[in-house]
Amino acid sequence: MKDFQQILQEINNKKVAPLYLVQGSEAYFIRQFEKAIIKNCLAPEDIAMNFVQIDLTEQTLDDFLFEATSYPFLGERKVIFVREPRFLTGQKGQVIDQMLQEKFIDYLKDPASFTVAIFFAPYEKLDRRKKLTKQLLKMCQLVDVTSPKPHEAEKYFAQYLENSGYRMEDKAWHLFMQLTAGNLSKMIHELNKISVYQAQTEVITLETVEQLVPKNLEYNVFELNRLVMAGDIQNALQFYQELLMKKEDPIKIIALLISEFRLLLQVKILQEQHSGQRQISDQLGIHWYRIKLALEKCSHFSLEQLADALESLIDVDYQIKTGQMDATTSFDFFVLSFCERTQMISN
Amino acid sequence: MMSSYQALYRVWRPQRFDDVAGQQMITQTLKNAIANHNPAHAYLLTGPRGTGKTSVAKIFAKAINCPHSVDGEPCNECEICQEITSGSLGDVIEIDAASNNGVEEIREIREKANYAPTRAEYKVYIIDEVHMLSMGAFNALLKTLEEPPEKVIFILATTDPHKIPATIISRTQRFDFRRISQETIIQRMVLILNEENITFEKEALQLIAQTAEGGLRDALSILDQVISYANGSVTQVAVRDITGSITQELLIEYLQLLYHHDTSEALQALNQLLAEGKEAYRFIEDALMLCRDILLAKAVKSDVAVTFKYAHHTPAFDAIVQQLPTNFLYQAVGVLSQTQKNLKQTTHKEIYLEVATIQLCEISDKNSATATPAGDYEVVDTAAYEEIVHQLQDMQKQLEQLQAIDKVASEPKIVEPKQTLISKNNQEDASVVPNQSEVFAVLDEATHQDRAFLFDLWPDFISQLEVGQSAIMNNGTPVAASPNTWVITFEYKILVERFETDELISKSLQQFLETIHQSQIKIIALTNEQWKNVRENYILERKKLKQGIPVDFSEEEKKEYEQRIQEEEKTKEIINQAVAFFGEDTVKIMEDDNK
Repeated sequence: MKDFQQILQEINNKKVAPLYLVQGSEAYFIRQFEKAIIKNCLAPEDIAMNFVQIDLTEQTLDDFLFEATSYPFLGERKVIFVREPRFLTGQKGQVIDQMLQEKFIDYLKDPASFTVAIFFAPYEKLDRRKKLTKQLLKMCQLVDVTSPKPHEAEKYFAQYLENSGYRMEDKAWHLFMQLTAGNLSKMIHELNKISVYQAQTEVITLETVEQLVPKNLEYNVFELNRLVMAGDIQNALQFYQELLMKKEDPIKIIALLISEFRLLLQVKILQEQHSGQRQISDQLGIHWYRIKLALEKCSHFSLEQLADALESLIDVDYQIKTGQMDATTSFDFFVLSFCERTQMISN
Repeated sequence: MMSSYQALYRVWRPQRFDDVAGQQMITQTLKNAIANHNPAHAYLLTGPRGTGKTSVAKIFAKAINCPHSVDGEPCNECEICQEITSGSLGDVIEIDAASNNGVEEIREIREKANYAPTRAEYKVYIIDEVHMLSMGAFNALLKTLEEPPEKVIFILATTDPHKIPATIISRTQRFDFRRISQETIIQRMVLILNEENITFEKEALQLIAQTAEGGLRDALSILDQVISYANGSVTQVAVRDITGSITQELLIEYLQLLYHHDTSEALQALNQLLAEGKEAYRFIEDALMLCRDILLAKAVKSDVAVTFKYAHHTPAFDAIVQQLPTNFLYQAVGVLSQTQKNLKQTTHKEIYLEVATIQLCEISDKNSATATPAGDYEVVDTAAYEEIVHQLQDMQKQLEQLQAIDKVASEPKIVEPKQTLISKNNQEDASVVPNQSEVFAVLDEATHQDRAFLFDLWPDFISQLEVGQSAIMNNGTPVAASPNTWVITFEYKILVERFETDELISKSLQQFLETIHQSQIKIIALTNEQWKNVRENYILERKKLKQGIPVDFSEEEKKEYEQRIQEEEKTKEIINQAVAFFGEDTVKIMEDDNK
């Protein structure tokens, strides 16, 4: 099977197939493919007339066949993007009657020479037992645009970053990866934004990433946990307040914070059993970098202190849920008493 | 002619990117995008309210369309800029999604978006509160964002990014606005007040900034109110009045009274505050926040004023930070938040506040540090203690009366203290032995011979009883005997009672003894606990006797003895009551060493 880059290469060399099936949901790849097709198949002035989009949630395969078989207006070629071809999957809803099925299969067997038809299937799986799916897969060029695995995405993005003429500080890189969570489209999207901010400067700093890349709740809780563990009461409280102002649900925050403390406790226990970073990572099934950070975080704390913190947090959760204390107060007092206790013991 | 009044935040709404407070990187990026003619098709601006989202959106609309724009800033003087500012330019469309949230409205936008802008270069749609759109409307919007028409820019603004579908977010360039720091808010207010020639107190501005919680618009709204309320000068008192919060001095004084156990003064201070029309709930909230700020100030040595929710630095505040121990504060927080919870359920808020005040006055700072808010209380002085019990009894009566009234209005509630009182009374204390002197007499005359005799006879005695009786007596254990009295113990009080009331047992016992022993023998029954106590007391007594006190109990001694028992019973009663009021967990009984 040809890989994505090979297919792009072919299209750029004007070797275009009459039928494509683009399967997967990596938005960046899809966009690249769309651009390549339009650039190589249509002259700019023809786009208005000879580029057609068919949305199968609103239109039918009949409409597609009509478009595909009618001659292009003026230009040489016609490009048809077919969206939402759900009939290829196991999903119910798009029913195609027998007559139409046969007509469609006939077309697949002998597609019009002037038409390039692209079926975009951003689905996890196709139902390969279906007759139409089988026929389409047989006759078309399959383009795999499934999302790459996080580490592949990282690799790909590193290359992309270099090609765009940027460099990232080490810390900025780690934060960037944490915030984009292995999603290639997001990485490129965010880099585009950063490039607007600093068109001239080559090095992307930690501060830039911090200020411009939106943070998800998971990251924010991670950061909150870091502040609490560092005994930075002031910033921890302020940060929590900010999260509430962003209308984050306090119960959600506490729940995530509990899981974060739980991880620290697990790491601590495994460490005391003399497991190394890699081993812990394997055992818990969590990315090694997170384990590394967790080890750093909990190095100044005893097992008892971590267990204690976890328990108090569970108590905070209980108090909030039973309406004994409001969310702000109970969290504030948790932080205050946790920091006080841990400092008392370490002093 | 009277010019119509415009709110401060509208007069001072920033008109240039550089005037927007606290969002430098975002404004810089947008300026670059305009200067390089490289705008995105859609922007998503998120952040807490009053952080500049709508302002930035409007500035953006001007800057991208202004023919005289320099470095991405609008000139604000040309016709187009001014028309956008006043909202009359047809190419810049502001929509409040809160009231136009249907599919129809968005479809209309979709259709109109296809027409080229008439006068400006770009058509700009500003959709505020975009999270209010319905699901159908979002889908319709998504269609437009997927294939954006040329020369059309969408700016979506929201306080609630979680409610925006991921598909929309991924098609926009997203900017997260930050909460504006207190310093920045204060700076901004100082700037405005200086321009408007209004005098102000620095503390007042800090208070406003605290209340605004990072929203500049909120801060300016409060400032506006304060200016009109206080006749053109911004004072701390005016701000407290407007926001309804209680002045720090009064609260600090109140806390100090609590710490010094000055119950009556504290109650007076409380009543005074309430008489001034302060709200009970607000009072508790402020008191909690003050405790939090004091704890914070104690824990963090550096200047923490920016994180304060209520307090600001004054000599009195610094003094109380030094004075109050952490332990006291945590306990106070426990009581206060409990009261806060109760306040929500009652119509008689003052009573709860008063009870809380008395409770707070009883907090002792001598306890070892416990972090749990509901800490232990200890009894310090018996006289004062009795007084408090008295007061609390009165309080409780009042509460019960009130709750009885409440019951009519609200759902019935069980009065907890009463319940505990009953259950405590049922369970008589083991250390009180009703017939202690008799037992002492037995022990005085006890001999090994008699004991051995009793042990011998015991199984025989049980075996000749009827089934019901032997079942009871099987639980008994003989423990001591004198020539004419035996002492036996049972595990449970109830068995002792059964033994004492069951006539059949005593009857058969008499018969049995008459046939074998030919004498009358009395049996004293005790519980195991009681027996243990009696024995200890007896040993103590014996020790004293050895030190020269006559062997026999004279009448006088007996009297003294009974007196002591009575006294002890009295103490027990007090303790029982205390337990009933505060719950078993909170009451710790300690011996008074001075006695």
